[in-house]
Amino acid sequence: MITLDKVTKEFDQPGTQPSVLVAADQLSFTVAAGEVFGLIGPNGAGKTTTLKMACGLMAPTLGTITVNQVNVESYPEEAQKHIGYLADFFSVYGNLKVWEYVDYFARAYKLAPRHIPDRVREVIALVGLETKTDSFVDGLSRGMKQRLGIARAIVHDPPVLILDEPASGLDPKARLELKNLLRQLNREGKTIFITSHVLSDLQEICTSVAIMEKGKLLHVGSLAGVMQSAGAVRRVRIRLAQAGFDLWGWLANRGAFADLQADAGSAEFAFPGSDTELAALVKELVQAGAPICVVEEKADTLETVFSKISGGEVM
Amino acid sequence: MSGLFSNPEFIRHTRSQLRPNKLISAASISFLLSFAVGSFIVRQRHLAGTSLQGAGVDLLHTAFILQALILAGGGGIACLNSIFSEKQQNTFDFQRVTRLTSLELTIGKLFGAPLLMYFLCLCLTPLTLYGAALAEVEITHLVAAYAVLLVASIAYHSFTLLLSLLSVRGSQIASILLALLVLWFASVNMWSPFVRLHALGPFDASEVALSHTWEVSRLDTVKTWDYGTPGFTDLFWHRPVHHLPVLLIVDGCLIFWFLLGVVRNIKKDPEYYELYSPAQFLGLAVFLNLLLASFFETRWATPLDAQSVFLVFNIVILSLLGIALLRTRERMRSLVRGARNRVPVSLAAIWPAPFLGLAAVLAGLLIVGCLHYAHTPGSAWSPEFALLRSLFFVIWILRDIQFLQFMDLRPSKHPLAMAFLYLSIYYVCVSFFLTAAGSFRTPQGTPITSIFLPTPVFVLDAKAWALAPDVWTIGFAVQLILLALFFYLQSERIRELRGPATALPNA
Repeated sequence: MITLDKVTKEFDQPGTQPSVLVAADQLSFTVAAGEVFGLIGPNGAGKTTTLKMACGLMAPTLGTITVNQVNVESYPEEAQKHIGYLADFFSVYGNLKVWEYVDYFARAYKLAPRHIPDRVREVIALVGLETKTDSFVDGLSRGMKQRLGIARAIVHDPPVLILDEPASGLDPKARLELKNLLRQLNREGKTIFITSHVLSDLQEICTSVAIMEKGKLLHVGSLAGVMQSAGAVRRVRIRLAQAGFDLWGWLANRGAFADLQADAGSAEFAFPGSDTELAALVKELVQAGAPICVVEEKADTLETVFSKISGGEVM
Repeated sequence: MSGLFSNPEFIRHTRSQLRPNKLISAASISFLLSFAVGSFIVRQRHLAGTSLQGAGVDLLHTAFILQALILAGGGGIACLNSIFSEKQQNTFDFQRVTRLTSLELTIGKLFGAPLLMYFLCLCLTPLTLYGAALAEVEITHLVAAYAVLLVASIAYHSFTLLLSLLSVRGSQIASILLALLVLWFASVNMWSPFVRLHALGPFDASEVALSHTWEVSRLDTVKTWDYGTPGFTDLFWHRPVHHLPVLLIVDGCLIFWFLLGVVRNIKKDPEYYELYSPAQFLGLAVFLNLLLASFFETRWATPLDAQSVFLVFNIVILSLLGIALLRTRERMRSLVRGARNRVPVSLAAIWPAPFLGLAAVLAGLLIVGCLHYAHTPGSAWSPEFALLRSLFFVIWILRDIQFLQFMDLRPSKHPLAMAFLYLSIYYVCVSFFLTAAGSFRTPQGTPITSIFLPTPVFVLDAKAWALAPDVWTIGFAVQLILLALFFYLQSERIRELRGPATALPNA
């Protein structure tokens, strides 16, 4: 759906060293149709630049980007037909009413005039702004404006959504609503290319991720693949109902459990095996007389993985 | 027209600007103003005991000036703000990613941004009509006057829209000043010993309404000309023509050229703006020269004066167009490193000299050619020296623009602004030094000034050359050496851009 081939973007930074900033350095990856693809990285990693290049708002210094097999640089208007875009810092026309704002973009995306009123109503309802249809945009809250921005991005029903920090500035409730909306849009077949600092949200909705730092691509692939390649292992914690069973000794005798930590009533260890192997282990423990009351998995989060990969760069 | 009313950008402006409360306020103010102005003028005329027709003439003048101020001035400011403020608010990118074509977006802004001003202008129409009725103006003249007001205002709006597109953060005040300067310039009567053309701005609308006749022979023509403004006629290739078609055609052409610049760039990445293609650039230079030549009155000028006027005009035109051809670092980097359509370093190192040089040579030859055939027999005319003057002018233009291009490729925050500053400092200082040395006072000093300034080119003839042929030659040689130096420095910059940038070290 979106393909980046050796895309490079360089900016001048007069008065600093080095004088040229490579915001995107030979980026090559593909966002497949139907995916929710998260681009993560610290501030200044080049995420926004990459998204802007994908939309045709910024021309790459080198390399090519195609959306639905249309070269964005050569045929921007044709490519933009397939794209809905939401920027990280954006304004809306405050002197328009909510329906006028969505209507403007419906017309600008050349929807058939007879379909526009219905589509405007539909999109406003989808983002939950029905009660504000006749309100002026200036009077909306930050979260509502963000939802209006999404309404604008999807009004022409594009197959690809490019969203730059759509959750920034939203309260937890609005973030949850946004997440649900994105899931719904993805279920409807939209390909979503998204950046966000809220990695826990991305982990919940993304099918693939790319990790960027200082313009370079560090990891790219399916979420599970990236987590695995970054050395993410699942940790298992077993808690006993009462002390008395030598959990540490039993596990140590079984061997092959890395990073085993245990006290009188519980043990935690890295478990590289499958779910079936874990079930067998628990069964053996119960048969050995361990009064197990809790078995819980403590998987590495995307945040932990990112932290490991990026060497502690601030998001 | 129906296309305009279904243009999304125009509709957006209609919705945001023409809300009932705004319209009621605007209409109330306009009607109050009309009533106050109307009653004041009629009362004054009544007290002076003059005819009502005179009051009508005054009313008509006042109403048209007010309308021109509102439509051209107010509308110009609205257009000047339109793209710039959208860029500032981060809303412009959303327009760029829509399926609106560049032309639709441009037209929507051109007619949409000044919409409230059109409404205000409309509200002042009753005052104009009242004035026209009192002054017994024919309806055709009134319609023609409104055509002048409208077309000249649209031309000005096109210019300010282009300015808005090119404005960057921090340059807005300069843009406003430039816009006001152009409005003033467009309103000044250009009728002079050399150029026989009336003003092209909207402030002459009342003149059209009050001209009372369409017959050129009945208007005051050049026969009565004595350094004052004759009637509403221009001299087109030495023939008197009514100013109305001239104004409409010339302003129409200017609208085309301004909008072409906007349409070519409005949806592009600002780093990649290129005002005109080289072919369009040549076309514009030819158009402007033809425009000047059409209304130029050679009979009142010696060939040397005439050539000087054309050269000065072309220095301005080609400098502006040369600046428009300059490439930023980002653009040049992309061109010399891009996988597709890569430009060789050798060609990039001399950009924009080939096109600018060609335009300057064509302009120079055109001037010499025209003057050769138009000069009065017996006047002091030497085609060889005319060619030499043109050559000198070509080298000067190329040298300065090449300096600006080299500077624009430097990695600094405002490279072009710094380049202009250095160039201005150079010219001011050199002028002071040469004045102090008395070089401008004697004919012998003139050749020396040619080493540093382009002004001596205007007096270069056989007599001036004979005074110091060696110094004139040195003057030429210095310019060529400097031009070569700037080519070399530019090629060094391009080699630096061609190499891969040093990426930031990974953590």
